Amino acid sequence: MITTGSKFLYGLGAATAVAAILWFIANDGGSLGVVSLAFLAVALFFMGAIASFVRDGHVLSTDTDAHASSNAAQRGAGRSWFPLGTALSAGMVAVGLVGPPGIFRVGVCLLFAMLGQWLIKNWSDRASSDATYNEKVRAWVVHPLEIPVGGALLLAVIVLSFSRIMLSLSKESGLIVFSVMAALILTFGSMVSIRRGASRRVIGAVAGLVMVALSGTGIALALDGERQELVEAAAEDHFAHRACGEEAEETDEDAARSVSAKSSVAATVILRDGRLFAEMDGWNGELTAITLQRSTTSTILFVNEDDHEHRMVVAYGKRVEDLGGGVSKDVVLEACTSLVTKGGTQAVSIVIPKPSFASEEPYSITVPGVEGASIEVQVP
Amino acid sequence: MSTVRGMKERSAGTVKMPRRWGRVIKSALFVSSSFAVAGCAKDAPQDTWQPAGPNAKMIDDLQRPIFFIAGIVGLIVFAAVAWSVYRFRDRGQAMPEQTHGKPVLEVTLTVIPVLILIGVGVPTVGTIFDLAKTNDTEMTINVTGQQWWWEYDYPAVGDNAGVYGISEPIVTAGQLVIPEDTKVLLRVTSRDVIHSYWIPKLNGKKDSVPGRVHLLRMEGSEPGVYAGQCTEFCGLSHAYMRMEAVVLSKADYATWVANQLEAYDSPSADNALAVEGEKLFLQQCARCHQVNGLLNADGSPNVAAPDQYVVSGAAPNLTNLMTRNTFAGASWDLLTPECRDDVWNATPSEFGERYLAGVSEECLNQKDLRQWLRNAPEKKPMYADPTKLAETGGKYRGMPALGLTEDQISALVAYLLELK
Amino acid sequence: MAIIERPSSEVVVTGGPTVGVKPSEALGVFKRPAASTSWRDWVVTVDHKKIGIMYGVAAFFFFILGGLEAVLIRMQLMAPSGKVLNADQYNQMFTMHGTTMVFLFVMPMAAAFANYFVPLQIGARDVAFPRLNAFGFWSFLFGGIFLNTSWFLGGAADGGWFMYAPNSSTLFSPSHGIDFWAMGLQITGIASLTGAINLIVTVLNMRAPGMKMMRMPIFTWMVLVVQFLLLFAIPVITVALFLLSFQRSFDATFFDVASGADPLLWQHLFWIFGHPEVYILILPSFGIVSEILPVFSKKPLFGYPIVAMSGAAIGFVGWGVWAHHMFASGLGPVSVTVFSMATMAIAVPTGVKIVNWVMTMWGGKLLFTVPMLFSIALVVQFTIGGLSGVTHAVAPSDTQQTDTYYIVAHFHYVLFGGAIFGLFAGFYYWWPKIFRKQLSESIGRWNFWLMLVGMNMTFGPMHMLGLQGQPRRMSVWTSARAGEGFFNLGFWNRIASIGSLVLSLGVLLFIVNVVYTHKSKKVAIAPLDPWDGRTLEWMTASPPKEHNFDAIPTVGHLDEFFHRKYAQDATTHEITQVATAEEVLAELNSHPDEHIHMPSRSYWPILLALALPIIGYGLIYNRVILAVGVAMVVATMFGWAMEPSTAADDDFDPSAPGDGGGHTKELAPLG
Repeated sequence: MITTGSKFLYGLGAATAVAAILWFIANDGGSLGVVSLAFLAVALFFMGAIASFVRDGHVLSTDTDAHASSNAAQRGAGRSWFPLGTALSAGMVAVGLVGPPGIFRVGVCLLFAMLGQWLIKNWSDRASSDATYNEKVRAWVVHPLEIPVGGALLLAVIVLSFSRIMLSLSKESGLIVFSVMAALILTFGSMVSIRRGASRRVIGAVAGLVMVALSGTGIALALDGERQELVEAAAEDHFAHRACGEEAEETDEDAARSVSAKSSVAATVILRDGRLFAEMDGWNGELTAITLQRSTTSTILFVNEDDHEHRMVVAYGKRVEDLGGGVSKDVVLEACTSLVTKGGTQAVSIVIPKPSFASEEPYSITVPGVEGASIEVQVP
Repeated sequence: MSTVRGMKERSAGTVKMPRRWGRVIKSALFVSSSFAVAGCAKDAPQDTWQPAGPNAKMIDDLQRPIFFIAGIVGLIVFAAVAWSVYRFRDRGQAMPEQTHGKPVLEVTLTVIPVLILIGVGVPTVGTIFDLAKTNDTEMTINVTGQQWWWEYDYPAVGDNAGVYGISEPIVTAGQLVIPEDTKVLLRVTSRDVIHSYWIPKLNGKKDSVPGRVHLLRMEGSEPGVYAGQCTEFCGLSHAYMRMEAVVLSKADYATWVANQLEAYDSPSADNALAVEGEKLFLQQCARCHQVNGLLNADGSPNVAAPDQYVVSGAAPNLTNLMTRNTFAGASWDLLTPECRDDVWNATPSEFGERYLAGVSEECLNQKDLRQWLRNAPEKKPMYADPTKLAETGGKYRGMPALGLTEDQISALVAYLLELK
Repeated sequence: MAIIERPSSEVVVTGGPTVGVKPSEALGVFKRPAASTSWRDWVVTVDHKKIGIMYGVAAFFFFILGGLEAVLIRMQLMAPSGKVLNADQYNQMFTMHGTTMVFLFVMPMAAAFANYFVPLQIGARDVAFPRLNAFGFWSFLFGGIFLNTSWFLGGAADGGWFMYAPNSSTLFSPSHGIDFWAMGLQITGIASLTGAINLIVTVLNMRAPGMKMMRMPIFTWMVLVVQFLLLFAIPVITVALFLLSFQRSFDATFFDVASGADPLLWQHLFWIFGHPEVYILILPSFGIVSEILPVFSKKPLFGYPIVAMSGAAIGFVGWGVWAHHMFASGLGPVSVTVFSMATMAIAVPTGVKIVNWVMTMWGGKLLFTVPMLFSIALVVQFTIGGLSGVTHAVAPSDTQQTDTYYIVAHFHYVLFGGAIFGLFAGFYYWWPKIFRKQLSESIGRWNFWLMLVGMNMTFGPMHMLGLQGQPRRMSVWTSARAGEGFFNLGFWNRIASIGSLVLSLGVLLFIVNVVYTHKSKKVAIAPLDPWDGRTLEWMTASPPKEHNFDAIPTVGHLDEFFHRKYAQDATTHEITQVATAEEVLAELNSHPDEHIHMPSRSYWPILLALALPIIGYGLIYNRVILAVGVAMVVATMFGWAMEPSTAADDDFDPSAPGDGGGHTKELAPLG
C-alpha cells in the first residue's frame, strides 16, 4: 500500500511536521510559521494518501519489463514550461529574502502553486497514453481547486486595482472616471449580448486588454504608496485631533460626505441666516440651550442652510492627561464635522464624560466663522 | 386489532363520547374564565389593566373591546369545534358526502374577519398617533438606563426652569418624580445595552437604546407611587432593575423641587458618627457617587469621576438620598415594611405628605442597606467575576464589595441618613 | 450521470491510444460503500427514509434537553426569590431553552417528516440530491452537539435566543457561550439551507406522472412553502451571525455604538429572519393536521386550493411583518402603524385555515384516534394563541404586553399547542408506516390528555402573569411585586410550574408508549393502511422498501389512494369500497418498473459535516485547529466530487443507452 511514489510524500510530510514542532519550540509560539508548516504537512500527507491509493508506481523496481511496458515509459518528454516557472518563483523567493518582503510572500505562493501543478501534470501524463483523456483526468482532479481559487484571485486583482485607482483620484475626477468606466462596460456588454456570434477572440482580446490596463494601473498606483497626507497625519498624530477651525483642510477635500442618514438623533443643529439654533424631539421651537445626557453616546446632526461651507464644533470640556514625571497636559475635548456644503447634513457622535458643573467653561456648540453662533449645552 | 372496523366498534361505545366534547368545553371555559379572573388579582403593582394616567387609559380603552371581540371569536370557534365533535362523531353512519369546498361560505367567512380587523385597525391607528403626540409637552425629563439602575435628570432648560422652578439640573435615580396632570415627556436612552422603561399603570414601554433617544409620555392623574420594571433583557441583574414613578400634586412637587435644590449641609459636629461617615464617604464612595455640595478635605467641591471607574460611565447620584425610598436600582426599600406600607397604601390626598417625609431613622431599613454596603455583589449579581475585570479594561460593572468593617458601615449609614 | 465521459474499459486493439484503468477502480479510496445492515449503513446512508428517522431521533433528544431546561426555569420561578438557579445560570438556561427548541427540535423534526414523507407523497423514489440530504442531517447533528458543548466549556450563551446587540458583544458577555451559539447556528443553518434547496428541486421536478401541483398532498404543499421561506430567511440570519462573530472575534464595530453603529441593525436583521422563522415552525404542523383531519373525518380537506394558497399567502405576507417584534424599540408612529396593519392582515389567511379545518370535520364521520385528538387540540390551541396574537398586533396594546409573560403565553400556545401538537399527531399517524407497529391507543390517550392538561396549566396562567405585569427573562420575581389577593402572581407562577411537571409526565408517556409498543410481544404488526389513508405514502409496504414504489403510480386525482379504494356512484352519490389497500398495492406492483436505479451510499457527507465543528472550535480557540478544519473541508469536498457515481456492486452504467441508463439488475422479490 505504501508505494514508492507515496513514500517520498509521506517522508516529506513527516519532515515538515517535525519542522513545525521545532519551529514552535524555537520561536516560543510563532503561530504563523507553525500554522503554515502544519498546513503543509497535512497537505503532503494528503497527497501521499492519494498517491497510495492511486497505486501508481506500484511496480517492483526490479521488474524491468513492467517498467518498459508501463504507460509512464511510453510517454516521451515533451516541452514544458514548468521548470521555467518554478525557477522564476524560486528566484522571487531568493530576491524577497533580501529585498521587499512582499516579493518573498508572492514568490513562496507562486512556488508552491508551480510545484503542485507540475506534480499533478506529471501524474496525469502517466495515467494513459491518450493525451485527451489525460487532460480530462487532470481537469477532473484539479478544477475543483483551480477554478474557485483562480476566480477568487481574479476578483481580488480587479477589486484591489480598482480601489487603488479610486483612492488616488480626487472627488470630482473620481466621479467622472467611475461614470465613464461604468458606461463603457455597459456599452460593451450590451453590444456583446445583442450581437450574437461576435468573435470570441475579439471579446477575449478586449477583456484581456482591460484586465491588463486595470491591473497595470492598479499596481503602479499601489506601488506609489500611501497618500501623502495620511503619512504626514500619522506621523504627527493628526488622527488624534482634527483641526476644528474655519479653514478647509486636506480631509475636507475628499468625497462629499455631506449626507448623514441617522435616525433618532439627540439634537439637530441648524445654521440659517446667520443664526444657530437647535431642535430636539420633545422640546418645542428653536432652542439656544439644550441638554444632553452624561456618559452616553449622543448624536448631533448638523444641517447647513447657509450659502457658505461651514463646520459644527462641539466643545465638551477637557481631559487632563498625565505625561509622567509630574507633567500633565490639558486635552481639549472637541468634536467637529467636516465642512458641509449648503443643504448638506452631517452628524457627530460624542460621549460626554463629565457634567457641566465640573468644567469652568460651559459646554457649547459653535460654528467657527459665524459670529454669535453658539448653543449652550447643559449636561446634568 | 387495529383495523378500520375495529376502530369503529370501539368508538361506538358511549364511554368515550363525553370526554370528546368535554375536553373542548373544558379548554373554552378555562380560557374565558381566565380573562374574568384576571380582574380578580388585587393590586398587582404592575397590573396593565389598571390605568392611572391618560396614556395608559387610552391603551386600556382600546384593548378592552379588542380582548372582548377576541374572546367572542374564540368562543365561536370552540363552539363550532365542540358541535362538530359531538354531532359528527362516528355512530356507524355511511361515508359522508365528499364535499371539496363551498366557495361562497369560504369567502363569507374570510370577509367577516377582514371587516372585524378593519374595525380593530382604525381605532388602533388613531391611538398610535395620539400616544406619539409630543407637541403639547409641559415638562421634559431625561431618563438614562444603565446596567442595572435608572438615572433621571431634570434639566434646567425651557419650561422646566420657568414653570417648575428647576433652576439647576437635578439628578436622581430609581424613583421618577413628576407633578400630577402634567404632560411629562421622557427622553429615554441608555449608556450600555438595551433596556426598556415601563411603568404599566401610566403608559406602555419604550426601549432605551444606546446612541438613540426615544420619547415616552408619562402622565399621572392621581398622586401615588407606581411600580415599573426594566423589560428588555439587559444582562445579569435584569431581574433587579426596577423603578417607580412618583406622582405628586403640583404644590407638593414645588416643595420637592425646592428641597432638591437646597444647599448641602455637612452633618453637625454633635453627630460624631455622621461626621466620621462623611469622611469615610469622601474616601470610599465619592470617587463614583456624586453628592452635590460635598466638599473635599481641601475645600474644593467634590466631583465624582465614575467615568474612570465604571464601564458604563456613571454611578447613582446620592444627593438627598433619603428623599427617595428605594435604592440599588429600586430593588430594595430604604423603608422598613411598615413605613413602606404607609407610603404605598396612602390615599391620594395623604400621599404627598407621607412621601415628602422621606426616610427617617426609625423608618430606615437597616438590614438591606447594611447588607448592600457590606457586600453589594453578593446581594445583587453584578460584574460577573472580579477576576475578569481585565475584559472591561479594569472597570467595574456595578458596585464593588468595599471590604468595610461594621463600624465603618454604621458611620456611613449615619451619614447617609443626613442626606435629606 | 458521470461527470466526464470516461473511455470504455475495453482496450481498443486497433493500435490507437491505450487507456489505463477506469478512475473509479484506480482511485480505490473513493469507492462508494457497499450495502450492509449494521450501524455502518446508517452512517453512510443517503436514503431519505433513514435520514428522516435519524432527524427524528436527534430532534427528539434535543426536545428532552430543551424540556429539562424549561423545567429548571419553572422550578426557579415557582416561588419568589427562587434559589434553584443563580442569575447567570438562569440567563443561560432560558437562552438555550429557546435556541434548542426552535433550532434543534421543531425545525429538524419538521425536516424529519418532510424527508420521510415528501418523496413518498409525490411518488418519487428519493430526493433530488441524496448525498446533500445526508450532509444536511449530519451538519444539523454536529452543529447541535457543538452548540451544547458550550455548557462544559465556560458557560452557554446567555443573551436570550434573540441575542440583542450590544449585550451580545464581548464587553457585556465575555464568555465564549455566544461564540458557540453563533457558530452552532451557522452550521445548523447550512443544514436547513441545503435541505431547502433539495426539497424544492424534488417537489418541482420529481413528482409522479399526473401529479399536478394542485393534486399534491397538502402536507407537501406546506413543506414546499416552508422550504422557500428557509431559502430566503437563512441567508439573513447567516449575515447577522457573521456580523456578530466578526464583532466578537475580530473587533469589528458593526454594533458598537461609540463607533456610530445603531443596535437596531441587529434587531432588524434578526427579525427579518425571525418572523418567517415562526411560519417555518408552524406550517409543517399545519400540513400534518390538514392530512389527518380528512382521514379521520372521512371527507376530503375542505377548500384544498384555498388552504394551499393561504399557506403560500402566509409565507409571502410573513416577510412584511417583522417589526411587530419591535413596537417598543423606538421606530416611530408611521412604521409602527404599517407593521401593525400588516400583522392584522396576516391573521386572515390563518383564520381561513381554521375555518377550513372545522368545515372538514363538519358533516364528516369523526373517529377519535390519538392523532385526531392531537389535531383537534391543535385547532383549538392555535386559535387561542392566534387570538392573543391579534391582541398584540394592536401596537399600543403591545407596548403593555411585549416582553411580558403574555407574549410567552402567546408563542407557547402557538408553538407548543400548535407546532408540537401537530408533530405528535404526525408521530401517532405515521408511526405504523415507518415502524410497522401502531403506537398503543390507550397509552396514547393518557399521553394526549396529560400533555393537553399540562400545557394549558403551564401556559394558560402566563396570560394572567403578563397582564399583571410580570416581565420575561427575569431570574427571580418578588412578593413585593406579586400583588395581593389569592390569584396574585405567586398563585399563577405556582400553577404554571406544577403544570410543567404534568406536561413532562405527558411527554414521558410518549416515550413509554414507544418502548412498550416495540418491546411488547402482544402488539401486532400493523396492516398496510391502518387508518384508511387518502394519500400516496400509504400505497407502499410498511415500512416502504428502499426504492419506495415497485411501480411509480400514475396520479389522476387529489387523494389518489382514496380514489383507488373507493368509487362514487354518479347518480346516487353513494360511496362504496371497490378495493382494499392490499389489493390496490398488489395491483400497482403487478407491473413493476424496470430500470430502478437507487442512489448509492457515501461516506463523504458525514466527513464533510464533521469538519464544520472543527472549524468552529478553531475559530474560538486556536488557529491551528482552524487550519485542520479548513483542510478537512477541502479534502472532503474533493472526495465528494471525485467519488464514482455508483457503488461497485451496482452494475448501473450511466453511459449505456436507454431511459436513464442501462441496467441489468434484477428486482428483489416482493414481500
